[in-house]
Amino acid sequence: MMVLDRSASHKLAIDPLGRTLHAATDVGVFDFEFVPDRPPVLLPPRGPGPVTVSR
Amino acid sequence: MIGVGMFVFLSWNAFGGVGHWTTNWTAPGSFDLNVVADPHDPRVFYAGANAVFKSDDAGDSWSRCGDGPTRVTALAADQNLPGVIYAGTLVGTLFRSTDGCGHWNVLFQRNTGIMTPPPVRLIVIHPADPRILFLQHASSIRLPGDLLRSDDGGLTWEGTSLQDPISRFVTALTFDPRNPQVLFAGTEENQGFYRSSDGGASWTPIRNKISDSRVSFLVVDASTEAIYVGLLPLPPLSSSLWKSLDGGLSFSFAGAGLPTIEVDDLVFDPRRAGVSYVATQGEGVFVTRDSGKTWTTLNDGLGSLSVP
Repeated sequence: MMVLDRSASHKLAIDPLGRTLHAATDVGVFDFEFVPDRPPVLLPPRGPGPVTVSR
Repeated sequence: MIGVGMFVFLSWNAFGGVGHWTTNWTAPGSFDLNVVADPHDPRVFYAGANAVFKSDDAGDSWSRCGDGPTRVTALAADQNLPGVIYAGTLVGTLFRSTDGCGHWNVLFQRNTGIMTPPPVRLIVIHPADPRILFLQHASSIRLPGDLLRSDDGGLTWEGTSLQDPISRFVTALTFDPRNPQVLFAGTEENQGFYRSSDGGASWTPIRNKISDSRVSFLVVDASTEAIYVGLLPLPPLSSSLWKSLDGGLSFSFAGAGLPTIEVDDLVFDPRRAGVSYVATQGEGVFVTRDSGKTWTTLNDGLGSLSVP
């Protein structure tokens, strides 16, 4: 049993859509698992709130 | 009454590079593993080791390709022709597969008589014309390296005008993806930095801050035309990463946050603007989210794997 240190990330590859990143090391290929992308979040309105316009 | 408010959109993509590393394939005893992405299929990756391996599921599983190159030292995938993969070997042979590494043919074998040819170090494919290839052999103990060019898809090869002794010292070569007539070449220590503006027919040395350093890689950001250069950090330059915004005429420090060790590779995140990743020797992977202004580690999962 040997413990892999960080001594060996030599080459990187990322797919054309940017979904997965891979690092070739001395002992194998590592896959970077991105935290899943989420769709844009619509937050509740913020700001000064309703404004009354007097004529 | 007029309602006034502000809707805020947030996207997780804005943070870029959040996650951790795992592996489903270990290759103990392999030398200088290499990995390339298939430009045509986001789930396909190729790895070079004692043979060529392929993953069809984004790294979840890997299998050895059919009979072909062994002791692989360089890999490249053609971004114009789906399924076309090149592999260079420790004994100087260039192989090509046209079916996604199912079958391989020898494309070039340097004739060195009874001496073992030097290893293939670089395979560079024209970004728009798959007939144009560059092949570089590193120098071995007994034989000098060379830089060759093919204009017919590898059927014939000629030496480039970047002649001895410079061509044997080339360590990095890249096209400008937005103008493939422009190429840049980095070399071993004290051998210079070169630019070609005619597709590699002629080369001009450029004196700049990095031209006396050993270049480990060269990449051009297609979206900004910024050139990134990785160096072996030796005095007087203590940083391993440098960036040019003027076509290589000058370089500025781009390694804030990186340790003073050699950087082996850099890839741009095609999905997240300003996000790039570098691989270092000894300190793992780093990410920038601000186009190289600052770098932070991206090593969650690296350094904790037990390999039987």
